Amino acid sequence: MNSFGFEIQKDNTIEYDKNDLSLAAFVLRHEPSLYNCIQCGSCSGTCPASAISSYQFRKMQLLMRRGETKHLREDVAHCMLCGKCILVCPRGVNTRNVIRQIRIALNMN
Amino acid sequence: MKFNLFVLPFTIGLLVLFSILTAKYIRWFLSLSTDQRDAVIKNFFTLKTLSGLREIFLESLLHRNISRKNRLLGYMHMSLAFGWFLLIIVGHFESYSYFKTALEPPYIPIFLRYFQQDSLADPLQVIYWFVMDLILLFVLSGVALAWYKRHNRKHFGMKKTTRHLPADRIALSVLWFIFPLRLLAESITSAIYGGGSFLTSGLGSLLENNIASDLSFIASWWAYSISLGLFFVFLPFSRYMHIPTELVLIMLRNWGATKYTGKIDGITQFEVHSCSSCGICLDSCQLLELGHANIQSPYLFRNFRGNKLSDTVVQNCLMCGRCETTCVVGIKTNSVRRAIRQNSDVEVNHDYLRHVDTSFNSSPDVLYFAGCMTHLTPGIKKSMQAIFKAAKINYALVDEDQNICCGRPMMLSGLAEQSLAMVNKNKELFENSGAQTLVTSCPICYKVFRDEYNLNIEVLHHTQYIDRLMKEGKLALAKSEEQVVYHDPCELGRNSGVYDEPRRVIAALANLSESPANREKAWCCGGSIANAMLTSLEKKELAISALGKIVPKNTMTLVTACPLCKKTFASTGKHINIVDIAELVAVNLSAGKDKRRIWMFEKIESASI
Ligand code: SF4
Ligand code: SF4
Ligand code: SF4
Ligand code: SF4
Repeated sequence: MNSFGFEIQKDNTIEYDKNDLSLAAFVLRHEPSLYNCIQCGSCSGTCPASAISSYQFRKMQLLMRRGETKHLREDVAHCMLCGKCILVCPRGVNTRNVIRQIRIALNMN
Repeated sequence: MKFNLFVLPFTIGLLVLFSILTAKYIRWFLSLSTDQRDAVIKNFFTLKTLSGLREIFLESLLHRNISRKNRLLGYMHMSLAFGWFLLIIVGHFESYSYFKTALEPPYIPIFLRYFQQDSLADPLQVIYWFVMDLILLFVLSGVALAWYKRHNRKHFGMKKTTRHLPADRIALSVLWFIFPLRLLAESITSAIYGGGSFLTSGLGSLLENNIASDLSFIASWWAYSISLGLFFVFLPFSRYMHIPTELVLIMLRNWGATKYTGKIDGITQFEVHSCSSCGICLDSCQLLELGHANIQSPYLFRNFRGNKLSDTVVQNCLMCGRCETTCVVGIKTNSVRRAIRQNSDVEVNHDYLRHVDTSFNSSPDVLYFAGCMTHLTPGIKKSMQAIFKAAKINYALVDEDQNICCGRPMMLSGLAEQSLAMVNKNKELFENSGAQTLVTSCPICYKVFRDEYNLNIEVLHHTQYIDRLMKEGKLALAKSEEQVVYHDPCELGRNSGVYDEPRRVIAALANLSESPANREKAWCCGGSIANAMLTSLEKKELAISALGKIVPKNTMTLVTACPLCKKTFASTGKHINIVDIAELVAVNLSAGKDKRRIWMFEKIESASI
């Protein structure tokens, strides 16, 4: 069965102090427009991958910025680079380059 | 045996050059794909070889393409290339007339005036002297122009010129010295031994009393030989590698062996090394407006040659193809960049596509694939649906709820292999439908469906499809007197060659004016999916600048044929109606009733960007 995010969320504690934020720092340095994100979710709303999978750009980058990178590799692999998210983002976040930079960062180590 | 030590720098340089060239070319030939190699073998003994040689003569020697851009620039290149070629050829004939053998060492015709100092009282020799002086003057005029061009490129029709690397600069300086040194050596020889014609003997008589001596005589021949030798040694490591490589590329192209294979292969190497860094394509690159001045094709190629590619050089390009259409060598800049971008290290997992239902419960004649971008410009989609309905077409919209991207954005980003799951799923969808025609509103989808999907179904962009419906008389349309201008989207025009259908459709509905930069010269809207690096503000800046250049003063409506162009232009907030051809057709279907409604809808929607 495909998960559309309607199941009961598992408990999750984010330990900000302990989490490694270096990946987020790399991505933000190379695509600072991500700082402008207001977590509105328009990107996930229009995303064709989100329509048929549990992947969400908004959620992925939020978790990444909190240092929760355990599922980042499998999440970012969903993106089709179609560019719809860029066109709907009200804050001018260069989402495709965020994805590209995440991929670069993941391949660096 | 005619010999002097001074011929050594030239001879050694020539040997080094030939060994390096042979080694490189053999390596590149071996990395051709089987198809490419078969094409060479199949077409070698055909007329294609002759037409290749003809093209070499016209382009590599006469530089016809450059002359078309600018006469003076063309003359400069021609005088250097064709002049040098003539010096060698006529030199060989002259040498044959003295020594009656074609098998002399290669340095003899080059340093002929040294090896044949005596005047023979032969009218033929006088003619040869005259002709050779004339050719030398021809070449020298090119050298003078080349030197002048470094400081006054505007007279040569160029705003920008490439910045050169150290190796290029050395080779360039050496090249500037070769022919003046030849003139000096021949003039001193003429001053001492007589002979020569108007140029060499003229200059010789000026030098006779002060410069000409035994020492300056041999020193000038040494200098000439050293400059030649140095140039040959530097050639394979500088941009002058383009001189021999372009010849091979022209032949390969004529043999039909240059098809893009999706990766860096021998053809990529030949293309990359055929770039002379002439910089003629630079002025066409809109990224210069944003100050991105080191990513253009010549820089990409040069960094590739020197193994110094950076992420920015590779990725910061719109793939608009404007440089490709201006390249005087005909290098497929877009294909080369795409090959260089290929990256198989990036992991992609599109397994979730298995949830997409590809079965059909109707049997449509025509499939309509709106495309990701069209879903964000619903006016285009609705217009197309209205057109299908008006023409009574049995169609199906294939990407209504679950749209899969066509894959081209990934391909252009260097992830062609990784896009296969998407390609296959879409193919399955199209093939299951049983339809004969696939219509799409997005030129990006159109290009990839047509050129890379290998479908058994006819693929049409909606401009082509509407044109056909109109020809078949299936649409009742009224022409308005509205003044409109058409913008050729990069992917539809330059990259797919569709220029006439959109114009026919528009001309039947409104008064079409052409912008000065239309067809293959059209500007990119700036929204290109191939560039992930530009910020949203930079894209907007490009769009504003392009709009300013495209739309004439008396025109309030810009018609385009790409949802992404529409969206990008609309984001500028300019008071211009930006409409898609499909919308123009749809409003004229309803003959004015709701004419503004669809456009206003889009304006409100796009104002949120
Ligand atoms: S580019 Fe990726 S994240 Fe953005 S909408 Fe397309 S599939 Fe979703
Ligand atoms: S649409 Fe833009 S602002 Fe909204 S969540 Fe996505 S990235 Fe953030
Ligand atoms: S394809 Fe376009 S953006 Fe890229 S280098 Fe050529 S002209 Fe510039
Ligand atoms: S790509 Fe073509 S036009 Fe541009 S510098 Fe190279 S040879 Fe000249």
